[in-house]
Amino acid sequence: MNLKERIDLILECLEKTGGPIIQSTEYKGYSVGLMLAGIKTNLNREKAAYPEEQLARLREKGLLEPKIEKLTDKAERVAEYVTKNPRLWHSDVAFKKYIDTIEDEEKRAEEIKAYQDAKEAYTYLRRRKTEGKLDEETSEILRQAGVGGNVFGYPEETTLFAQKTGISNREAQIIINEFGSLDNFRKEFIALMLDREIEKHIKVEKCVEQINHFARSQNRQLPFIQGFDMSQPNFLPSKDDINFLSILDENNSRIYGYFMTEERIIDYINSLGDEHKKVVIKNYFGLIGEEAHTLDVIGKATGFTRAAISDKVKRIKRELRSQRLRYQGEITEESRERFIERFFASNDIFVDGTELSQETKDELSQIYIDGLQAKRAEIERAKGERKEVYSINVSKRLARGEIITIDELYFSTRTHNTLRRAGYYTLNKILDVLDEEEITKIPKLGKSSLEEIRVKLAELGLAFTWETEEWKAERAQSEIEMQKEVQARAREHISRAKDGVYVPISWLDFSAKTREILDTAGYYDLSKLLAASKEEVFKIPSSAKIRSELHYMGCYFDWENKPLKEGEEITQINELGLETSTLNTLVKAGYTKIEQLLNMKSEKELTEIKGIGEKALQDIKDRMNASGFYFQWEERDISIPEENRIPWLFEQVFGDSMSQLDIELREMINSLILARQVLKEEQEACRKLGGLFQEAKRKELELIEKALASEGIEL
Amino acid sequence: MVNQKLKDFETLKNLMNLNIKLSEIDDTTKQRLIELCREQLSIVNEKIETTRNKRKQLEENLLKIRKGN
Repeated sequence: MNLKERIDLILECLEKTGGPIIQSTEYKGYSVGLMLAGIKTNLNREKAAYPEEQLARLREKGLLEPKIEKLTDKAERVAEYVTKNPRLWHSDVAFKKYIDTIEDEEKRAEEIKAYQDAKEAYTYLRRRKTEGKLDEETSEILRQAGVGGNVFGYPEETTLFAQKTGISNREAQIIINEFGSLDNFRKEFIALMLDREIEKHIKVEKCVEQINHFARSQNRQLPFIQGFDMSQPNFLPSKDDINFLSILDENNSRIYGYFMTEERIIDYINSLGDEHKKVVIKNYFGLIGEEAHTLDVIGKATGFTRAAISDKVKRIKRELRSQRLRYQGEITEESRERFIERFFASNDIFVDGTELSQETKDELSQIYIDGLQAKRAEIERAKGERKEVYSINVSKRLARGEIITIDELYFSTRTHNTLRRAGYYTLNKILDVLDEEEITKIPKLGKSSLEEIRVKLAELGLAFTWETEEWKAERAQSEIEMQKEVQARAREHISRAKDGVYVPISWLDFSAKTREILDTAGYYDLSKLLAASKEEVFKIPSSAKIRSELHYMGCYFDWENKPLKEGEEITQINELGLETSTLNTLVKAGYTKIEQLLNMKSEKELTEIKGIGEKALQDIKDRMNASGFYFQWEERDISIPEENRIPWLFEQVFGDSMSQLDIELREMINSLILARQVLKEEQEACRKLGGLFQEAKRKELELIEKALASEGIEL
Repeated sequence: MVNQKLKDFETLKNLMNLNIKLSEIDDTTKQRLIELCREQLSIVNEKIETTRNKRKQLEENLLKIRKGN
């Protein structure tokens, strides 16, 4: 077959089958694939000189794309893909899963193509390697990339890691593949370890808190040290926690927490020069085989007064505190660095022996700190939630009528003790208190304790009974009723006293003090008191109190202004509520009734009064308007005759759609107008009848007179 | 503004003195107005009753006098 025939056959095959032509493709008994491959290889090796016309026919169909790629290029392509996607390269399952996650079809096709290309190139290179046809440079590239361990060998990093950790090369490679790189694995591992450290730290904090809580409940006298407490002999955290704390510092002086053990206190005592101090500290705190004693007992034994001993105790406590025996919740920079260093010294996962860079250290410490803070915040939140649940439970229990002791509320020691000594053992009793005085009267319970109780109650969704709105409303209602009762009792006495009948002061509900004052002033009789003039009353000491008590009973002096009753209209100027200076100037000028003001014909009349300026004028105007009065000279918005005023309101809306409320309002106002008309008619009829009645009476009288006169009798 | 003014009124007298259109009043104020009207109505009704009683008494008295004549 010559070239033309071969190409004809190839093109015919392509037309008929439509599929790609590969080496194994056969058509009409000829191996067409091999034919095409032969042509290609001949062209590549430049062994044959084919005519350009025939080759062009193959090129048109895209069958003659030259595929010349150097082996090193191929190897680099594979290595690049592998270093980019180590996980996908080594695990078919991972690749399938990854492909499933891609939603975009084009992207998925691209990924699949890249993967298949790399795999194809790899199989080719592997074959050559097994055949011994691959040069060392290319195989080195593939080895460094960790393409396939069994054929190309493992990278140095992997073998070292495997040696150090005692696992096989393959396992080491799997780890590296899983995490992308050894560096990534280190980071992840460290993060994990840090997480565990955080857990431990939190555990220690919690432990300390619980210990403190327990110690507080025991109410021991030993000094509290912030975070740690030495009153509890077995307060030490568990061994692991201690180890964790001691990991941080070589000298075993804790960086995280300086806390007191009994040993340390004993060391401290032995270091004291002062013998008296030694005795006091031993006996007071009950250390080194001694029992804890009271100040009195120690005083008797040592010959000191109680105050002197208490002074000594105070000083010792202060000294203990000043020794930096404090729990340090925060982590200093120094301690952090030391922590990181020691941590990696004990967990050596570095195989190349290089030191951590500063950046990595910072990053890691930041991870640690952030994690710690997040954990703390989480715990705080959980605590808050627990508190809420607790408060709900308490209110439920209260509603059920259960008794809640003050021990359950965890007050501070002082507040707890003061309440306990005063006999307030339960929350129920505290809530039964109706008056603030009753609580503040408790000895040694001051403002801060009261506030503490108030805050605690608020946390539980409660409040002091005297502070609740319901109680206030109830109280106001009961006061009104009480006043009514008092007024009912006093009414008869007052009316009799006003008629001049003798009524002793003791019959009325005066306070004891007022009664005494009235007695000493010589007013035994209420009628005498009520008849007294203004000046006489003002001469009595604390007359204001007497007057207010009289007002409470509903009794007023004649010269006093009575409060307005419902439906009554204001007639006096002093009822307007003017400022005192304005009122006084008006009264001095002789204006006492509102009518007088309304009769004024111009503004001048008012401003001519001495002491009435712009401010006072405005005040008078405002007050008058507020009470529904208007000066004649005042400009008003409208001047509509009274009959038309209310219907006029609805002029604008009548045609339009009215809401239910509008209709209701209109009907109400209409019925009011109607009622007023009825009232007017009734009143007119009444007046007419009154006239008729008078006339009839007069006529009757005349008739009677006439009748009597006719009988000769004169009235 | 109108509603602000209406908030302070205490008697219908004040209302009549204000130049207001119904569309300018809001619902809560309308409600208040209705309540106010109801109050006023009860007062007026009481007054009507008392005057009616008074008139009846006058009529009776008048009748008595006339009968006596």
